[in-house]
Amino acid sequence: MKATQQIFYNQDKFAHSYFFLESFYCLIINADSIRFPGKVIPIDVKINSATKSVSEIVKDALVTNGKIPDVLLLDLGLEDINVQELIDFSRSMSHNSRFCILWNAVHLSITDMQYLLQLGIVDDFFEDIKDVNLIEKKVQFLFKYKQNTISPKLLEVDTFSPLKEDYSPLMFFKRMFDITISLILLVLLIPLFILVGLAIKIESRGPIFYISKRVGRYYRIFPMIKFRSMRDGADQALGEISHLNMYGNESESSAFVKIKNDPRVSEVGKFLRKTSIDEFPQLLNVLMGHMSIVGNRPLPLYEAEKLLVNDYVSRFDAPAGITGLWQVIKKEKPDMNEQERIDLDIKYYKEFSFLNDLRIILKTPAALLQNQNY
Amino acid sequence: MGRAVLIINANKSMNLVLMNILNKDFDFFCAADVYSGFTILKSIKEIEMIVIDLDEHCDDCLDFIHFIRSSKIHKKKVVVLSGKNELSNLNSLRQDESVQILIKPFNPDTLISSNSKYIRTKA
Repeated sequence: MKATQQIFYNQDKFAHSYFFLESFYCLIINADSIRFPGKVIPIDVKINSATKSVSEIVKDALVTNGKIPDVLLLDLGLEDINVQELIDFSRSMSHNSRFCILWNAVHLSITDMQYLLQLGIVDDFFEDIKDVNLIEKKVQFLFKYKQNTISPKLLEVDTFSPLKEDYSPLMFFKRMFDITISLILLVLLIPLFILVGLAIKIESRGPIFYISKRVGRYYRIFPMIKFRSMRDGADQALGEISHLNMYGNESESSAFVKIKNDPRVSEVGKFLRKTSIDEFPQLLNVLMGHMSIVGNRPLPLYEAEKLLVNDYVSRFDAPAGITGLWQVIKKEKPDMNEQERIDLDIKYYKEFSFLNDLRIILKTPAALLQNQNY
Repeated sequence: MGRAVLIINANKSMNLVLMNILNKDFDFFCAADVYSGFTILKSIKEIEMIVIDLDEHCDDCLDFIHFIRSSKIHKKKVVVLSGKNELSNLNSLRQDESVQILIKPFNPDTLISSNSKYIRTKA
């Protein structure tokens, strides 16, 4: 960007000059020399002589060019200027969204800069007055900023309070419900847990429980507990059978993985899956607050990260659940595609209510009894 | 208040997810656009990093990033979240080592490790 006009002054206190750019013009106030793109012109400045204030210089600019400058570039030290006078002048211009003040950082310490910003009289700093391109970009951003901050669209409008998660009374009530139900069921199910544990141990080597990292509400990662229904080392074998994924042959592009007639499932595992008993240990996750009785399916990490796009991410607003909208709907529509499944997850949270949760709980036993592929 | 992160993104769900991914080390502030974000940045001195989503108002976001990165006093590490469609607009940012570009959907581990590296560098 080339300056199209320069006018030089040698006033009593400050030297100053103008340069015009395409969209605005700048007034430079300089204590020792006038510099502008491509040139440095020494000026004999009488710093200590009396005295033109910044506002007087700006008035001169108005008289000379018929308009107030858009930008004031201060190329001097704090000691060269009456700060109080600059504060008053800056406040008098605060209504003008097309006016900003930039100061040359070369003359200032970090503390000076912070002080000037705190006073609210400087919009930003520059380091090289010859870099007109950079100054112009700064000024253009600052003009847009000033025009847009008349009605700031802050998510936290009243204060700059840190971002907080949603703990509404409804969610609190849901949590109380979860604690009560999970506690009662865990006590009642202790004998069943012992029998299942024995069956798993007798059939194959390996642990009773399968613990995997899952993603819950707001992408909180937690260890999800299930009865082990696959042979030991099943996770490592997933790559070999990814072509069987019913959500798409190329597991790279599909967010979800579900294998029909999965060869890794053990005999006891088949029964546990058919009756959904393998999911019962998740009541411990509910009690610990990782999950809810009703929510979206807790996704493994490799599935969850594929949903980190703006259109899908709101499915993580809902807690992970043992049962959910998807689990009860899939009974009516077993060949649901990936998009429909994500839509259901998002729908669940958007329409979340305690009554809807109860409806899902009531429909769950029927969904559990369906003849699944496993 | 300890260290803070400013998230500039109108999608509150994504903001909450980002907060949980990074939450071990920071307080979080969020703004729906770069202009609100700049107001917060000027007010909260503890902000050390800015996470900005280019999905909406891409040009404004890029102007803001250039402004921040060239600023003597507001210079911060910037993490840019971008869709694949905006990739061609990001060339001007690629040379800046303090700007990290993540293409959505992004791997949270990449964000965490980059952040840890940044914290170690600062320490």
